[in-house]
Amino acid sequence: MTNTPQTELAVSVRGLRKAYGAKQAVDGLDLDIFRGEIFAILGPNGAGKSTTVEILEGLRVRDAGEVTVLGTDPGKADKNWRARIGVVMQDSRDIADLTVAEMITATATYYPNPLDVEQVITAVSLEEKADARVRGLSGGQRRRMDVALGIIGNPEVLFLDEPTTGFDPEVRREFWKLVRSLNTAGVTIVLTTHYLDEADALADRMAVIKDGKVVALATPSELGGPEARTPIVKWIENGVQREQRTDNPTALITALTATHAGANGEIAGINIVNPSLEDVYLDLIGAAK
Amino acid sequence: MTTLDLTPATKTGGSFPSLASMTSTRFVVEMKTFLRSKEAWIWILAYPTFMFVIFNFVMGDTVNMGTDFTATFGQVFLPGMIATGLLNASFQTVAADVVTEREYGTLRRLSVTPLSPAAYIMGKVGMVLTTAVVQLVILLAVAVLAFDVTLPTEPTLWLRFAWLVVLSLAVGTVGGIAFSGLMRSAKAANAFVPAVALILQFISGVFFLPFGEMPEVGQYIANVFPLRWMALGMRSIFWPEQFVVAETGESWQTGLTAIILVVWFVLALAVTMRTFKWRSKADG
Repeated sequence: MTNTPQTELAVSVRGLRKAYGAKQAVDGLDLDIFRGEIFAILGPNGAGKSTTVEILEGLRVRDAGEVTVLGTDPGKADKNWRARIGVVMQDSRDIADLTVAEMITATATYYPNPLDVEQVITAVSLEEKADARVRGLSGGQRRRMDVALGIIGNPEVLFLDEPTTGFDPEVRREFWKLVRSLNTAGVTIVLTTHYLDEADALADRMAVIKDGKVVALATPSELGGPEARTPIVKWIENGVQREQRTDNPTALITALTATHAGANGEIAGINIVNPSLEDVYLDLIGAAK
Repeated sequence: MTTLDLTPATKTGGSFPSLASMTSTRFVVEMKTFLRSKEAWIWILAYPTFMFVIFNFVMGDTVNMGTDFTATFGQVFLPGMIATGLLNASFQTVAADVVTEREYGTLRRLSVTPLSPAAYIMGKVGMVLTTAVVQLVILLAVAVLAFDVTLPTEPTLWLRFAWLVVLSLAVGTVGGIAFSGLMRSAKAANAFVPAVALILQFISGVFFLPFGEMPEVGQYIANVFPLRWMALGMRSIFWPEQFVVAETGESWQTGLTAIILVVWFVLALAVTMRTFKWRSKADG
């Protein structure tokens, strides 16, 4: 929802720091997330994205910096604040002997404005498993129950920490639809994910975190800036791979044809590459090949 | 997944669920979880009765405690088994449960909801009370029907029985939660908690009587812990009055028992309030 007036902040982070022993997991991180947007946080393992999100969720204590979520410091939050946020955590190993429906029904009673239990179970496609014990669910089913538990309280901000891990491609698409419909209903979504296609499909804006700092922040189509999106012309010259970024690939190829074409009129290994989001991302985190 | 047509997420100011309603939800969750784990509930409900029956068959005879009065072995052995059962239903169950729930993320899941820790703890207390009462009824029924144990008739003794049960369970439950903070994993708790309970049982005069004839070092240590006082309190109810001569100072020390249990409860509650965490140490 890029058209949402970007005035009210759902999340504001300034100079956030958190160390585990000698390792500085989050190192002066700044972030603003607007109400009503789907915001994706990307980054390699150990970049500090989970730590950051867990601080936002009130699950971890920070060392320094200013943090507000819905205008409240998560470190000092009470039940009123917790009733306004939803959390889908990364690892879920719950071995409850309760059924899916019992678990969701019980959780609903902790909130002042819960959603309808049956509707939520339908929304995550667990109707057939509603009366199955949680301990017997498959990984994907369990993840969907996690999502149901995250949204049952009718949150204003929903944190999704790698929510689609273990999903079938089809279920994943359905899940994206669910996230969009929640967002359409006004829920701000903060999504951490490993999947670039997921961020691309869902996010209004995304931040790339590396070494505990935000290294890029933009819409998926603008991430990395115009330079990172410039097409790359690749060719082989005297057995050596050459490449050049250019906004005018046709002109470059015409020039190359004049000077480098072989007897058959072809340039060896000629190729125009339009950097994908993944290429841009890998560039940003310094993992480009 | 079908599209979810949510009402707009503008809050309508729905009232917050009360502590009582959250507690009752938690109580139902605890009871369902308990009853669906058959190994656990059979063991917890039957343990003291099982021990009572076994010891009766092995040791069954009459006991006089050096007095002119004679009682059946069952009559003498019952109070210790009641105290053991109360410890088992509260301390052992709760300590192991909380460590497991913390390790498997159940508590972490609850921590991001508005559920108050008080409702969580009260739900456990309700579960402990229910299971302990069932356990007691089974034990007393078997003792009376199969082993000719006579129950007290004086209302004052039953009143004492009631507060002793409630106070013992309160100490055991809160103590179990406080103790869970010391355990790093469910595996450690499953090994360590029963060991602690067993040692307490041996030094507190639950199996071997009279308490005054136990090694003095054991007595000193046992005097510090609640089980010795729980067992003494139960003896003051189920033993013939004449057997008081077998006790330290030839007294039931009912007042001191009450004070020590209350002090334990207050200490355990203070520790729990200061240290109770939804999350394990590994979560930071």
